[in-house]
Amino acid sequence: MISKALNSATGVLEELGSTFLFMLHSVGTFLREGVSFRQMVNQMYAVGVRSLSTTIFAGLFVGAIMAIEIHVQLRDFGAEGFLGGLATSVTIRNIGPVLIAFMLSAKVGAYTSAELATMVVTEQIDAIRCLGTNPISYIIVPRMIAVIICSFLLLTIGLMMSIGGGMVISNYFLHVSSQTYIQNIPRVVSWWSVGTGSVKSFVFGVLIATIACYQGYHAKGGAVGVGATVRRTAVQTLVCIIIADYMLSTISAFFYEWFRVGQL
Amino acid sequence: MIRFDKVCKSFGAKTVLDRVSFEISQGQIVFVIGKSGMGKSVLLKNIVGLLRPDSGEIWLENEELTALDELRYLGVRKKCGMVFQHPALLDSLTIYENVAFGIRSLGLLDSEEKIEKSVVEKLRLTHLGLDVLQLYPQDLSFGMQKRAAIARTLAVEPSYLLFDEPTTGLDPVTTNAINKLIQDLSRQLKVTALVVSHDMHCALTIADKILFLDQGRMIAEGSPSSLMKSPLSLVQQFLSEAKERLL
Repeated sequence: MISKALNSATGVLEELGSTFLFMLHSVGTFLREGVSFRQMVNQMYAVGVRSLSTTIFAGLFVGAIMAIEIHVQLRDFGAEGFLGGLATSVTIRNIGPVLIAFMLSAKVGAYTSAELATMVVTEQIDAIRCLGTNPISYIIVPRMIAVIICSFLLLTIGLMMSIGGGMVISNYFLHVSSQTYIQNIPRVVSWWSVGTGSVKSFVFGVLIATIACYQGYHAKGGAVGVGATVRRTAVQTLVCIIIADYMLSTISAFFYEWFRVGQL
Repeated sequence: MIRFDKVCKSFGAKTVLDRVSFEISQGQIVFVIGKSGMGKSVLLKNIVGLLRPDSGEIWLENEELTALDELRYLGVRKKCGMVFQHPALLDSLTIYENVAFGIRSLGLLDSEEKIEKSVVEKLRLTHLGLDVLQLYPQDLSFGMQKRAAIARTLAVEPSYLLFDEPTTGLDPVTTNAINKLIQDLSRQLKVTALVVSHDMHCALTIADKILFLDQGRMIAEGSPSSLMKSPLSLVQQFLSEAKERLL
């Protein structure tokens, strides 16, 4: 039982290490060989533009849900006026990036890993190597950069939409006018919150890109292998996003306190 | 000339190539016959460096390949064009871009005009019309995709053509057409062809030499006529299957 658990833990650590080394190898290849701009733009269209409507939709609803939930709490204290500030702060710092990253991992992560896995099992990657091209440079680097940039942009757009969603729902259903909602945002939401949300969005983008590309590139077997790759990508990105969110929140809170008090 | 000298390759506990030795002379068409999972594809992938042997030596002309790094393998891949079991065309590129891919990545031609001329010529050699140039692989039938994959391999003008089960998944008519194409290309372009296949009938028709691989070992080799007299049961099984196809 214990040895099984140890084996499992070792397997997880090995996978984590291999994924990290794969990312370093890709970064090294990018620095040495650059990136095919055309490939990158194609990928940005495939993962970015095609995920835009889903992200906008998700962002609007995340904002609306947060507004409804926080309004219930604030109403008891007669502090509905703070709704815009609090809902936006919580959404930008924590819930928004996580929920939208979950949605992107399901869409962008699954798409990328499935596409790469299919290329591996149909020998397209081997063919690229045989034709004298480094597949990391031609296939992986453009995808990684495209997924990181698009995930960051989509998360930012999603967060902006979430403010819109909260504002609309407050105006029409919670009796807090749009003007009050907006006016309150700068009183509660600091640049620190915006920075924390941005850093999280970037880190989540890197996680989605790295895990999806690593898993896709190392797929084995036929159709079953592609399915298993997509499943592993989904599980690993969700778990890693949650852990990264916890770590970034802790670090952000620590430094916020440090800067505020002015001492360690 | 391609020469294998006691080449071994294992995946975990499974030995796929067990001290395999053989030699192929310039200009020959050689078939490697064997059941599925007996290491035929692994043999080809070891030549182009997609896999590396655990021990033994692989010689291509006067160069020993097993110690080459990825960069030095580029020269080997220029000489050895591989046609995969799947067409392995890049889905995101048109047929024109697919066929031109190797020419561009290996820097073989310096102008788009020359590249276009070469692509058109290779499509003609594989009996594909120019109407496919701007189509994507998914717009073509499986047989046409195979032809386009052969055109892509020919585009880098290799001295050696390696075919990994070129007729798998094709109907008998297309199978015969592809086999005829392999023979014509080898004779016309004077390249050495190494074909991994189950198709004994085709091997008997066009091969100069046939190698039998079983359980990772080379159990028989020789000309089609000499193998007809082989007492080995596996060889006889494949021969009777080929006779049945003729009837």
